[in-house]
Amino acid sequence: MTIALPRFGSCCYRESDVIRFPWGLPGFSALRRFIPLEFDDDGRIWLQSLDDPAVAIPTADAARRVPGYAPQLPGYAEDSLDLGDGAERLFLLVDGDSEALEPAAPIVVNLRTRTARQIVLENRPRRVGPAASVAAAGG
Amino acid sequence: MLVLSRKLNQAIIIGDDIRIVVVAVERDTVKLGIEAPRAIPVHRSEVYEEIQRGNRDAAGTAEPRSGAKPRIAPLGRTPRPAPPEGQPDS
Repeated sequence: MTIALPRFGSCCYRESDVIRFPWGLPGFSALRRFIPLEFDDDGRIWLQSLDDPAVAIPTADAARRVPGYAPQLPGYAEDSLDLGDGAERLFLLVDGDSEALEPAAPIVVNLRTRTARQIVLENRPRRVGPAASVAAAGG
Repeated sequence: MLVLSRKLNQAIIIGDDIRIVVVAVERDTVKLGIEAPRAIPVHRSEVYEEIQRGNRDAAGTAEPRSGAKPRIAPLGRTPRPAPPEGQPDS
């Protein structure tokens, strides 16, 4: 399939590329389907909405930007995303232009089901910059 | 907005399975105990609203650092290192 994107031009994707957000995202509660996009040398993963092509949220793979990032997820996150039994998961952190990542609200993706949810952590790790230490994002 | 008066240790019930209890009142701070099903996320409103603003700001202002065409990102896979010079990328 091809989608015309007002910010990025056109892009081809398959249905298997889609990440579903059954509960929406804070600030975008009505948007449920996204595709992950990348650009050469950009270092970001852009969550491009299929419901509203004008919306694309820049994120970073926490494993690459914050070594050791492994937050303790609340029970509702584990249950709703079916993360039991060691399901493979990915943590994305919103990566805007502020030069700091927000580790307190990871977007958690179940890589098997490609279902995702942004989780607001109660024990908030502090914001981490580009050269952040591992200890900053413990959980 | 529905406004209810409660005293210490009194509660309100929301729906069939959410119970909010006043557990302490200290000067200008009220401590609430919340009993809710495990599936219901509970957040301080200012924290949730900050995340909402952060998402909207990032989506509205950030631009790609590269002018290249977008492609689907292979989630969770480590990219292969570039092949040595002179060898084809099989």
